[in-house]
Amino acid sequence: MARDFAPTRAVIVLFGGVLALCVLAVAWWAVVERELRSSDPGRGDTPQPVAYGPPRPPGGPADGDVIQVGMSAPFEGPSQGLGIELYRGSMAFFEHVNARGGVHGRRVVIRAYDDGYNPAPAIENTTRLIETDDVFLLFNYVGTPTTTRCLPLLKQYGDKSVFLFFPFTGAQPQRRAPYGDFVFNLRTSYYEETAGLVDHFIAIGRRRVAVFYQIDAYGRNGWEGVRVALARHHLEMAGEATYRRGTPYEESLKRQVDILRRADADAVISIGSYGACAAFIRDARDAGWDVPIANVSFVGSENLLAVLQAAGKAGGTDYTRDLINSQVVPSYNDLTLPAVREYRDLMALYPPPPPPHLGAEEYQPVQLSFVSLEGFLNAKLLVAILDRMGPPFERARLRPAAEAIRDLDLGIGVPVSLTPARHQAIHRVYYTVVRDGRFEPLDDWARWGK
Amino acid sequence: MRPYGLLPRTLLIVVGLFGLTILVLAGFLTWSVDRTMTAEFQTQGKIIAESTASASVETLLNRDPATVQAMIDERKDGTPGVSYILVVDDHGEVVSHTFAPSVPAAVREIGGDPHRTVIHDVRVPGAGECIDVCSPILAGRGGYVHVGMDRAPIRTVIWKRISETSIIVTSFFIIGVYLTVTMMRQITLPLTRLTDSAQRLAASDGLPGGEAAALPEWFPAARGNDEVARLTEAFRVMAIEVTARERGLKRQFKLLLDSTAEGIYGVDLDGRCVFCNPACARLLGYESTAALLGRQMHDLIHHPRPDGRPYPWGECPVCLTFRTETATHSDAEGFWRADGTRIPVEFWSTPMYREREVIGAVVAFVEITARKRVEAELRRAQEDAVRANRSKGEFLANMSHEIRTPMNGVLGMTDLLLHTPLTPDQQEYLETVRLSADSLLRLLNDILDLSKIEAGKMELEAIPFRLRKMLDDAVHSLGMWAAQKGLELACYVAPDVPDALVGDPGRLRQLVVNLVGTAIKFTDAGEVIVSVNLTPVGDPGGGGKEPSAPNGPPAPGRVGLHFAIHDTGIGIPPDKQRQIFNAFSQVDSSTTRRYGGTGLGLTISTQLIGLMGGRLEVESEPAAGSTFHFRLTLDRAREEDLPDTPPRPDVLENLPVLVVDNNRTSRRILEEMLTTWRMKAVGVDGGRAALVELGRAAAAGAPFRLAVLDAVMPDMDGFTLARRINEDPTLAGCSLLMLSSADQPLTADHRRELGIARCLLKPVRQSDLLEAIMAVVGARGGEAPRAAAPPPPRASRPLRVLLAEDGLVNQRVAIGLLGTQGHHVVVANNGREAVAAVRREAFDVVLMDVQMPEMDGLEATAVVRREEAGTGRHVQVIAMTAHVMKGDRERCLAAGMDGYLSKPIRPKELFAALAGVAGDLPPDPGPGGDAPPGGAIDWPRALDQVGGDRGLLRELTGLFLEEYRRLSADLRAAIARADAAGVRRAAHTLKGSLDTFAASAARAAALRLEDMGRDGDLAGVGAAAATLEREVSLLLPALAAFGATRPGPGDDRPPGNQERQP
Repeated sequence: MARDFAPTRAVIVLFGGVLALCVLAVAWWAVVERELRSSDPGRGDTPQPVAYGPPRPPGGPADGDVIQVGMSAPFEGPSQGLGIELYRGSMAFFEHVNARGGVHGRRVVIRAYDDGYNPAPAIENTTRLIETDDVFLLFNYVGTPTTTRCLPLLKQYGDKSVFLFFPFTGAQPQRRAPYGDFVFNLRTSYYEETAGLVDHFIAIGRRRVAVFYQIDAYGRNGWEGVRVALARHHLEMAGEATYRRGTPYEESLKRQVDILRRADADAVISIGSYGACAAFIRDARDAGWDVPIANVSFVGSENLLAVLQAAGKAGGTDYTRDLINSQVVPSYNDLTLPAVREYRDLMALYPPPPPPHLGAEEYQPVQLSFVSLEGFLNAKLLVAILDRMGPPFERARLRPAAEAIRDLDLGIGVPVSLTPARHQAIHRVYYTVVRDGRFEPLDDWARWGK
Repeated sequence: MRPYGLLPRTLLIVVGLFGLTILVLAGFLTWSVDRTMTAEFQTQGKIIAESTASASVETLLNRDPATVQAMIDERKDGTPGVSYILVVDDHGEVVSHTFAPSVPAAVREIGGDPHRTVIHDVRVPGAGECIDVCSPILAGRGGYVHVGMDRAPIRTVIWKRISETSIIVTSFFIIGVYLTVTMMRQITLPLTRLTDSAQRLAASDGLPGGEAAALPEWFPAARGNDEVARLTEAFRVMAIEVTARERGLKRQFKLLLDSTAEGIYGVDLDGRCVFCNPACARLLGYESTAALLGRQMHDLIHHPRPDGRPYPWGECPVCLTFRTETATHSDAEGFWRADGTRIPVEFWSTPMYREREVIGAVVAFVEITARKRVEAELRRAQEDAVRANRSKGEFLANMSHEIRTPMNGVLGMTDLLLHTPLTPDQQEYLETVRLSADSLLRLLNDILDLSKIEAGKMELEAIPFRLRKMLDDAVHSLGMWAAQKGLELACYVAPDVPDALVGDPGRLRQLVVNLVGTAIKFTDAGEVIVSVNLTPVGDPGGGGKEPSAPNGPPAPGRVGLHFAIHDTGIGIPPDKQRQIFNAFSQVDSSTTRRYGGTGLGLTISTQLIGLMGGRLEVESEPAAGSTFHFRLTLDRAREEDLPDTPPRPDVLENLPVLVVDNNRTSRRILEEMLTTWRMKAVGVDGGRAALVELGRAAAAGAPFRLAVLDAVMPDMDGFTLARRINEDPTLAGCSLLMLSSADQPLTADHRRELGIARCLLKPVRQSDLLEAIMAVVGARGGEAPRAAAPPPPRASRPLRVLLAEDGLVNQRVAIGLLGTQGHHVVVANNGREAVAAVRREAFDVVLMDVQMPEMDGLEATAVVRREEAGTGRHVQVIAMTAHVMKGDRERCLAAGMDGYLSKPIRPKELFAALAGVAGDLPPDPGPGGDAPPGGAIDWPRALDQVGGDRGLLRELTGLFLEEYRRLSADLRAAIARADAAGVRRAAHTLKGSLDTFAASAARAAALRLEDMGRDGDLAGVGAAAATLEREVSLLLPALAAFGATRPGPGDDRPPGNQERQP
C-alpha cells in the first residue's frame, strides 16, 4: 500500500485537515479572547481578607456599665511580642481600676484584633471596631504603617468623633496635619529619639552615621528623623539599607550589612522590629563588624534581648555588646519612680494573659518590659482622662477632656500635659545598654568615642 | 515497501498537523496576551503613577517621606502586578521607595519627562522584567513617581492560556484521531483480511478439491456495495479463477510427470526429495514414489562411487546446480538402485527457483545401460578396424620396401654388370635378366599403385610440365613395340592446346602408356591414335563422343583437355564394357590366355583419371575397335616455371652432388650413375655424415648443389635429414631429391615443406633419375650456364704423350687437345700397344683408357710398372675412364696409376693433370676467325672443348661425319633387333662424339637412347632414335659447312702433325 495513493488525494486530505484545524482554532480563540478582555488580569490573585477578631461579644457596643476600647495590633507573627506586651501592661492597670469599681462605675475593657503588623487588616479591624463594635475610642494601636493607614479613617468618621489614644509609634503623620487632631500621643516621637541618638554619636566623634530601616512608613520616618538630625550638623547619611516588613530572625541580612560596611559607617541606627534587627546585629557581628548599633524604642527591647541571648548562647558570641537602645519610657528597674513600683506591683498582682481569643498559645509572656510599662502608662493616662471627663460618656466629650490635662503626674518624674495644639504628652528619651543580661541606663557614651 | 500502513501514515499526518497547530496557537497566544496585558499594565501603572504624583504634591512640599511612604505602600499593596514604586524629588533624591535592601541604580537612573508620563522597560535586580511608568509631580518641579509593573503576571497568564488551549486542542485531537482510526479501520481491515487471505491462499496447497467455485469459508465475502466490497468481490473471482487454473495445471503437470519415461525428481537445498514421478521410482527399483519423498537422494542413489570411494554431496553435479545456478548434465555416472545394483544414467539437473532464489533442483534421468553397451562395442570395433588398417598399411610399406630393396640390387647390379666387358652370350643373358626384372618391377609397381590408390594414399603432383613432350615420350617409348606389330602409332595434339600445364606428368604419362599399351596389345592390325583436344572446362567428359572443338577462348588459368586413344583392335562387347574397369579382369579368360597381362593397367588408369577429376570411358564395337577417352581440367603453367627444354646436360657437368644412402649397393649404383653424367658425386652412409659433409663443402666454398637422399635410413631418416638441411641457412641452395623404396606417407605439401624437390621410387631408372635431376637443377632457374672457360694456358714445355684409347673420336679429341699445347702425341689402340710403345720409347705421361679391348688400362699399367721396377724410371700414368665409380679410382691407383681423369675429357682437367707432370706450357693464342655457323651447335663451347683449336675442330667434324654414318647404321640395326645393349653402345659412342661439339639437344637424344638401352626399355626407342636423327640432321649442314671452310689463321697445325702408330 505504498505508492498507490494518488498525490492529489493526499494533498486534498492534508489541506482539509489543516483547514478544519484552523477554523477550530480561530473559533476557540474568539471565545477565549472575549473572556480575556472581560476579565480583570489580577482577579483571582488577590488574597481574600481573613476574618480577624474575636466572636461578637454578647452585649451591645455601648453597654451601660462598660467602656470598650478598640485595639488593633500584631498578636501573631514576628512582631506579636509588641502587641501582646502592650496589651498586658494596659490590662494590668485596667484590671486594677475595674477591680476598684471602674471609672465612674464602668469597667474598662479592651476589644483587641490582630492585624499581624499589616496595614490592610489594620484598616479592616478599625472599620469593624468603629462600625460593628462601636467602641468608645481606639487605643494602643501598634506600628507606624498600620496606624498611619488608619488615620484617614478617623478623618472619615470625623462626625463620630473617634479618637486614637496613645498608639505605639513615634511616626510623624499622627503628630501633624491633617490627622494630628484625631490622635493623642504619650510617647516621644521617632524624630526626637533619632535626633538624640545622632547628637550623642556626633558628640563622641562618630560622624558617619548609617541607617538600617524597615521599608515602610515607620522605617522611612526614622530615616527622615536621622536625615534631619544630621542635616542640623551639616552632615549626610553615610549609607542606608532596607528590609521588608515581616522579615524573620532566621533570614540572612548579610547584604544589608555589606552595603553599610562598604559605606564605611562608624555608627548604625536601626529603625525596625526586633526580629529583623536581631538578625542584622547577628550578621554584622558574625562578619566582625563591631560599630555601635542603636535601636529605637519600637524595636521591643526585651524581645530583642531574648532573641540575641538565645542566639549568643547557641553560637558562643555576645551579640549584646555595643548595642544601644533608646527608650521612651523609664527603665522598669528604676524603682525610684512610683509608676514603676506601681507597675511592678500590678503586673505581679494581675499577671495578665495574652488576649484569650487570639491564638498566641505558644507565646511566653515577658515578666517586665519597656513595652508593657508603656502599655501600663498608656492605660493610667487614659483612665485619668476618662475619670476627669466623667459621665456622660460621649465621644465628643473626649477631646476637650484630654486636651485639658495639665502637668499630670503619672509617677515617672516628669509632668504630663495635653493641649489642643499639642497632642504629645511627653518628650523624654532614655538610653539603655545591656548589662548582666538586662537593660541598664546608659551613662557612659564616651566608651564609643573616637 | 514502506514499513508503514495506511493507518499509521494517516495518523502521522494528523499528529504532525496537531503539533503544528499547537505551536502556531502558542505563538499567537503569547504574542496576543503579551500585547494586551502589557497595554493593560501600562495603563494601570500610569493610573497609579499619575494619582500618586498628584497626591504627593502636598506631602512632598512638606517633606514628609513617611506619609508618602504610607501612600505608596498602600498603592503597591492595593494593586497586584506592581513591583515597586519610587518617589524622587526634583533633585533626584529618593523621597520614598519600596526596594530592599536599596534602590537599584537601574531604576534611579531612569529619567522622566516633566510634561507627560513615559514608559520604559527595565530589568530590576531581584524583581525581574518590569514596565517602568514615570509620571512627573508638579511638572517635574516636585519630582517624579516611578511605578514598576511586574511582567511575571503576564507570563503566568500566558502559560495559563497556553495550557488551557492545549487541553482543548488535545481533546479535539484525540476525538479526531479516534474518528480517523475508526474510519481507516473500516477500509484497512477488509484490506488486511484480503491480504492475509491471499497469502494464505498462496501458501496453501491450492484449494481443497471439488467444486471450482468453492472458496474456503475463511475467505472474506463482499459486504455492502462500497469500493472495498467491490474489491473483495473482484478478488474472490480472481482467486476462484486462479485456483481453477492452478488445479488444471497441476493435473497436467502430474499427467506429464506420470507419463514420461524419464525419471524425474526434485530436491531441496539439502538434497532431499520433494517430489518424484513413478518412472523415477521404477527406474530406481522402489515400489512407490512415497519411498523416495523426503530422502536425501544423493546419499540414497549416488553415494558411494562405483569404486567404493565416498562421493560427498558437495561434489555432486546436482549440488553444483544450485551453487552455480546453471544446469548440469552428465552421462558418465550411475545411480544405485534399491536392490544395490547400479545403472548407468544420463541426467540433467536444472536449478529450481522461487522468487529468483534457488530452492533446489530438478533432476531428470534416463537409464542408458543399452547405449553404454553399444557405445563400448562400437568403440571396440572401431579400434579393431583402425588397428587392422594400420597393420595393413604397415604390411604394405614393409612389403614394398622388402621387395624393392632386392629388386634395386638386381637391377642396379645388372646395369653395372652390363658395363663390364662381357661375352656376347653373357651380355644377352644379362639383358634378359634385366628385361625380366623390369617386367617384374612394372608389375610390382602396378600392384603397389593399385593398393596405394585403394588405400587412398595416392598423391598427385602438381608441377609444371610440357604436354607435347610428355606425350611424345610416352608414345615413343611404345613406338618400337607398335612397329614390331606393324601398327601405325600416331599422336595428334590439336594446335590450340596449350603446351605448358600444371599436373602430374609422371602419372599422366603412366596413363597414356597404359592405355596405348593396352591398345597395342589388343590390336593386331591397323592403327593406334592418341589425340588431345580442348574441351570446355569443368566437363568431366561424360557426354560427348567426339571431343568438342573449343568455341571460345579457354578460361584463363584452367584448361579442359579431352584425351582419346583409339585403336582398331578386337573391341569389347557392350556387356563387358563396364567389367573391364574392374581390377584383375579382362573381357574373358580366353582373352587373357591369348593376350596375357594382368588387366591391372586399365584399372589403375581408371583410378588415376578419377583422382585427376575425370572419368575413363570406352566406346567399342567388337572387332571394329575401341576408343578410350577421358577429360581432365588442368592449370596452365607459366613458361618460366617450366624446366629447360631440352635440358642441357652440360649444366650437370662437375655439379657437386651428395649421395646419402646407408645401403652400400644402392649408394654405389647412384654414384656410378651420377659420375657417368659427369657430376661430382660424393657418397655418405647416413644423415650425420651427410650434414658434416655438407657443412664442410659449404665452408670450403664449394657447396653441394644437389643431395640425393634415401628415405629409409637407420639413425636419421631422409625426412629428418631434409628438414635439418632445410633449416640450416648455410646449406641453402642445395636441392634435395628423395629416393624411397617403400611407400612413404609423403604428401606433396609435406614434400614441399621439407624442401624436397622431387621424390622417386626405388629402384630408379636412370632415365627417370636424370630427368628428375635435370628438372631440379634446371628448374632452379638462376643457374646460368657457366661462362666459357678462359683458354687454357699453354704448357710450359712440350711433353711426349702416349694416348692409349680405343675410341676413334676420343683419340681425335685427345690428340687435338694435346696438340693445342704443343705436346707430341703417340696413339695406342689398346693396352698391349700401349705397353709396347712404353717399352719402345720414353714418354712423359701415358693417358690410359681403363676400358680397352685386348688389354685394359689397369693391366697395361701393371705391366708397365712391373717392367719399370728396378729401372728407376717412372712414367706418369693418368687413367681415363667413362664410368668411374668410387672404387675405380682406388683400383686405378692400386694398379700404379698416378692420376685420374673422367671421360669425356675436359681440357682444363687434362691440362691441369699434364701441368702437374710438366709445369707450364706455352700459352695458346686463343681462338680466332669467324665463329662457326649454326644454332644447334654451341660453337664457342665446342671450341673451348678443343682448347680453341679451330683446325682440330674442323678435323673432328670430318671424323664425326664419318663415324656418325657408321654408328647410326649400327643403332638402327640394334633397334630393329630390339637389341638394347647394341642401342646403348651405339648411343654411348655417339653421345661422346656429340659432346665434342657441345650439341646439347642431340647429345640429350643420344643419352636417352643410351639410357633406354641400358634400362632395356625399348618402348620409345624408335621415337628416340628418330629424335636423335632429326637433331643430328639439324647439325649436319652446320658441321658440313664448318668442315668445308678454309683453315683460318689459327689453323697453323696441319692434321699431318699427328703420328699414328699402327
